[in-house]
Amino acid sequence: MSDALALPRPITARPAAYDRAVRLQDASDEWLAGRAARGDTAAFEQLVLRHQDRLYTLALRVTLNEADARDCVQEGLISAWRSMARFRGDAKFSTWMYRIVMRKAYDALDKRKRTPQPVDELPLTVVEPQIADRLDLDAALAQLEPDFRAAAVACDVVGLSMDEAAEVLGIPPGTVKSRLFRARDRLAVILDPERSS
Amino acid sequence: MSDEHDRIARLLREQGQAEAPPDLVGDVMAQVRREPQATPMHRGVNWRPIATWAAVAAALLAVGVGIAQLAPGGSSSSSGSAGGGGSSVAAEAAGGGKSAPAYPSADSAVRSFTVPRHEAEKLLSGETNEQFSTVGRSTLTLDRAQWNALRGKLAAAAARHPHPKDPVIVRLRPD
Repeated sequence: MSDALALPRPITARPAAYDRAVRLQDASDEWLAGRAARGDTAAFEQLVLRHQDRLYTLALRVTLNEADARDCVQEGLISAWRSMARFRGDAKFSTWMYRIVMRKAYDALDKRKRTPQPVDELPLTVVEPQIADRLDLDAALAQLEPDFRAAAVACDVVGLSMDEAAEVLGIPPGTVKSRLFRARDRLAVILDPERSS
Repeated sequence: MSDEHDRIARLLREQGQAEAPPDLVGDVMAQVRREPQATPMHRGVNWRPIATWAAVAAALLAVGVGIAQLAPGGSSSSSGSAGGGGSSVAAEAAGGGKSAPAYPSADSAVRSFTVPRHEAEKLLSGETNEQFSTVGRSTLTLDRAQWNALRGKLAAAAARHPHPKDPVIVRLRPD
């Protein structure tokens, strides 16, 4: 009886934080970058969450070292945060971040001055085939010159277009194309030695 | 060759991906929250175009003032072809009367001269009219006929005394 007479419950508003989180997830990179440029750390965090894997992939495949890759991404993201105010939307935000991380990766390579690991030191025979393929790939990438490796990673691993890769690498698109061609050619030989014979 | 390249590209795309360490975001954001951000964008007022327009406006104003200075009748030089240059101001200061109106400085258009008081008395001594007494006056007004008769002498007097100590403005009565 009392239930029948009870007034309907007011619709409880969703928490503001929930709405905000949903809005951030749906927002474009450029909108988030604009918010981050005005000091919104939540917007910047959304950008980091969105791009961290690809940034890490880029750094890892160029530096070929997990610790270096992590440092590159971390330092690159901090640099991006510090200079968010200078991002004016001339390029895609993701391209801008990739470029920062790519520079960090090149810096790491210059600092390290380490020669690539030889293929025969990798334990290819004691791992599962799928992992072995990946190790093959890592070893093959390690045999490429850094500039060719960077072109292959930017275009084929990360999936950037030729123009985006050119912007990230700071070279003309034609140079990216030729480096990518040579990198693929070289990788084909490394991964399939019979081809060279 | 193309098939081989496609195979390599597919291999890189499928096997080249990596996942970021799980604590990377936390570490980055912890540092971000400690880091002061660079100066935010000044989205409010862009001063550069405003400054440019202000400079242009100032230049135009300066040009305008310059033209006004050079233009005929633009200053008290109309008070005499030779005796101008602020003499009407001096006359006003001396007598406290109305200042000479600004007229074009062409000779035919000059309608006032600033001359020393004694020169004015001498030139106007032939006139019997009481109104030409210079005692206690800073401005004397002549009608057209008198003006035409005395204009040459007044101009010469003004030229001889460009900055008279005790000036009197002799002018043509306005029509």
